[in-house]
Formats: sequence, structure tokens, C-alpha cells
Amino acid sequence: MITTKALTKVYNGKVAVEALTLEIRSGEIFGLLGPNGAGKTTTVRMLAALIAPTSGEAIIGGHRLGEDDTAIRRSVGIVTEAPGMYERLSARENLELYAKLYGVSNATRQVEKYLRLLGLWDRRDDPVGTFSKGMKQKLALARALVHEPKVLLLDEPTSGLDPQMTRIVRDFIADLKGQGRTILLCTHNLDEAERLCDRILVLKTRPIALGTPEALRRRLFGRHILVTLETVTERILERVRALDFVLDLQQDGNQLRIALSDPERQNPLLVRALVEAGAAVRFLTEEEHSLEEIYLRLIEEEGGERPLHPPFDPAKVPSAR
Amino acid sequence: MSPVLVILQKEWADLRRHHLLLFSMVVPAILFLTLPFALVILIPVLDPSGWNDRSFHRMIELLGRVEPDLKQLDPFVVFHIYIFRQFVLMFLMVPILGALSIATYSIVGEKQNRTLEPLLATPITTTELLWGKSLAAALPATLLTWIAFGLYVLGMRALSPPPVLPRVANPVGLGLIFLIGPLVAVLSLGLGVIVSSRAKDPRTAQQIGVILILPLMALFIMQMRGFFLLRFRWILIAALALLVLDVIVLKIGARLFQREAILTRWA
Repeated sequence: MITTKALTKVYNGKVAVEALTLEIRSGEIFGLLGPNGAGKTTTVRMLAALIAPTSGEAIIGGHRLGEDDTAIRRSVGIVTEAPGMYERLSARENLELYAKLYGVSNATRQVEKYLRLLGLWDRRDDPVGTFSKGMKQKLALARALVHEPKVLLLDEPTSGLDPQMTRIVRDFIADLKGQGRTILLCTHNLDEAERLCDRILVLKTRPIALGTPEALRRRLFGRHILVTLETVTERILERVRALDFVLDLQQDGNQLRIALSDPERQNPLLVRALVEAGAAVRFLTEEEHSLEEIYLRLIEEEGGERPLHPPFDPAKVPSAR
Repeated sequence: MSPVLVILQKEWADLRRHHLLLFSMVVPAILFLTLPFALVILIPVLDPSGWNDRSFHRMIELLGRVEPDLKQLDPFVVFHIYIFRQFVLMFLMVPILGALSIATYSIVGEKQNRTLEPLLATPITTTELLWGKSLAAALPATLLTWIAFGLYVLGMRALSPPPVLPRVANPVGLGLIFLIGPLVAVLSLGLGVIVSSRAKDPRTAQQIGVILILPLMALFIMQMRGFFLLRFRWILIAALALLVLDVIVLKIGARLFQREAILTRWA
């Protein structure tokens, strides 16, 4: 639904986005993560045909950027970082304005549909200036959807919202995926990205890493099994080390941290070996790395001397499905 | 519905609820509408010889050269004509200030509220958006001027001696209101668009209005002091000059009013 090839934007000699190549499939929620100034908003603006790329190409909803920009704008819904509502106009007037600008034929019905869906119908005639930030953000979502776009570009949609409103907005975004829409979600919130996104691109002006949260986890940290025993003896340690599929073994008190390449296949063999060595196994679990750890490691590596850019190849990254 | 009309509708819906802006537009119109009536009524009462001073006589002499029949009129009637003609010029402040206020509030207000990005993300072209905003600023400002002038005419008809009205609502007066008025409104909003691209708040943007108001004030004072008298030929020349200026200013405004420039350089 969205494909870009070496998309680059330079402002006054300063590179904002460099060589962005990606493919977002129809019905996918694709997360764009990155620190401030990483180029997330610039990417969204390019994909919404708001600003022209300096080089590279993109096809959004079947329309080529730079050649068919009006068609792109017609097929894309956007939630900008700030809700950007006309505060003296009512919620209904705000949505009707956009419905008309998008050329929606049944504007009144569409406006009612989304005001009801987002729980704003009772406040439809109130000036938006009297709304809370969360209500404005919901209205911004309604505005992005009023023309039923297949592609949604969401730039920090839960920024500044309280936890309850964040949850409502997130659930709504998850529902949109169920309707077959393709969503590009820019966020700082790693928990949000993990919950919602099928795949994630970490961006720091240029793409650093792309994949499912799980694939990124494995790529960066490998897979580790944490085994808690009643006691750890030298015999047990020797027995584990002797297993040819064990890549690494670390001991911390009565807990063993064992690196495996294929835990699903190797765990039964490991447990059998432990029991044969006389170990009493209390717990066995796979070590979890949060997306935050992945993100921080990636950003740190990018800032260091080991660039990940050359090996980056979207085609080699496994998809979400 | 055409996108231009959609924008126009939105701008007017917004304007209707922006009471401060409406007030700031209506006040000059009320002021220039009532002040000349106050002058023709109060001066003869408060200062019986004031209206008959040296500069008034210089003006009578000048008026008499252009319109000899004025010499045959009662000096009190000429006094009315003199005052009411001066203030027709001042009516041009209404479209200047009105169009400038609406244009700057509309554009700088959108910048402040960050409403331009979602608006520009719609299929509307920047030309359509600029047209919508320009019409939304120029039409009410011009209409207000015409309404105020209509009331002015009615007032003169009710309160002044009969020879006054045809000599004030003459080709010069009508040319000022119906030809120069819309042209200065367009010039004002064009300058408003240009300065709004840089200004961070509407009041700063409105300071550009001084560029237009100062020459108008100078004309007003010079005519009041009897240095010259506006003639219809001059109105036509001024209209042509304003038309050229309007085109230049609108072209500059349209060049500034591009999606990418608005989003990346207007902040």
C-alpha cells in the first residue's frame, strides 16, 4: 500500500530523512520510531504529499508521489502532531468542513458516523475550544477518517493524553486495522508501538532497523532461557556446557542464563539434561527484552562507531504475517 | 461544493464568532460614519465662527474653481459639502483595516492553532485556499464599507440641505467607495498574506497597515487644508495604479502561499 525507495529530504543542506526504503502492506500497522528530529514528521509529510522529497520515490495507495499528489491526498487520512482544530467552530462544523474538502458525497452521514463512533455526538454542537485535549485528539482521528481513506498516517496520536484516553485512542487504532486500513504510526511510546504495530522501523534520519518487535529482539539480543534451580552444582554446569546446542551459559546464584538458537526444539533436551544431572528445576522461562531496550540499544549503536546502515535490507526482514 | 466556497463558508462561520475581530472592523466604520455628522451639527453650535475660518475659505475657493456653482450656494451648505466630502476619503480606512484584520487573523491564527497542516493535507490546491481566504477577507470589508456609505448617504439626505447629497455622492465619491474601496481591500489583504508568512501574531502582522493608512491620512489632511481637491480623473489613475499593485502583491502572496513553504518556512 505504501512503498518508498531511497526517499530523501534535505532542508537547506541539512538532511532530515535519508534513503528511506520500505514497503508497508495493506492492512498493516507499521510503526515509525525514532528520537526527536529523527525525521518521522518529515516522512509523514512526504507520504501525505505535503512536502516534496529531495530525491527518491514513493507510491502511496497506488499513486506516485510527485505525479499524482492530489490523488494521494484524497486517499490518505492524516492525524498531525497537534490536533489543529478550529476552536470557534463546533465539532460537527469542523468535520463537515473536511468532509466537503475531501468531496465526501454523504458528508452529513459520515460526520454523524464518526462523531458517534468516537463518543463525541453529544458534544457535536459545542465549540471545539471547550474540548479537552483527548476529545480534540479523538476529533482529529474522526477528521482523518471522514473520507474513509485506505491509508492512515498518524503522527504521535496519543501524545499528551492521559492513560485512559490513550487506551481509548489505541483501541480505536487497533479496530481500524481490523477494517483493513493501512496505518503508519509515528510514536515515541514504545509500549504503544509494541502493542499496536506489526512491524517497526527505527529511524534516525536514516533507517536503522526494520522488523517485527520479536525479530528485532532476536537480532539484537539472541534468545536466552532463564532456569531457576534449587541449587546449582558443578556437575550441573558441566552437563549443560557439554550440550552442543548451548551457545552460552552464565550463572547468577541459583539461576542459569542459557543462550539457545532454537529454544522450542532445544528446551526439552535441556530440561532432560538438567534432570539427569540431578537438578531440581523450579522455573524455566525465556528472557524478555522490552522494545525500550531494543530501541535504546539501536539508537546507541547508531550513535556509536558501528553503523547498521549498510547491512539494512528490508527485503531480508521477516514480515509480520 | 467548490473548495473556494467551502473555505469561504468556514472563514465566515469563524468570523461570526470572533467578536473582537468583528468589533475592530465595525468600530472604524461607525467612527467615520458618525464623526462628520457630529462635526456638522456640533461645530456651528460650539464654535460658530470655527467652520468659517481661513482654510475653509481656501477650500471654498478651490471648490469654486472646479465647481463654479458652489459659489452661489449658502456658505453653510458648502460647509456641509466640505465636511462630508472629506470623510468619504476616510471611509477607505474601513476596507483597509477590515481586509487586513481578517486576512492576518485568518492566516496567523491558523499558524498559531496549527490548523494549516491538516487543511493542506486535503485535496484543496493552495490557489483555491488563497482565493477562499482572500474573498473571505475582501468581501466583508468591502460590503461593510458600502453599507456604511449607504447609511452615510441616508444620513446626509435626512440631516443636510438638499444640495449636499448630489455633491458628495458624485462620481469622485462613488469612485472612491465603489472602485478604490475594493482595490485597497485587495491590496491590504495581499500585504496581509505576505506579512503573515513571517509574523507570529496577528497584531504584528497588522502593523503593515500603516503603509496604507499613512498615505490616506496625508491625502485627507492635505485635502482638508485645501491644498488640492480630488478629481475623478485622479480616481481613475489611482484605480489603475492600485490594480497593478494588487496584481503584484497577490502574485508575491501566491508565491509564498505554497504547501511546503507554509509548513517548513512559515513557523
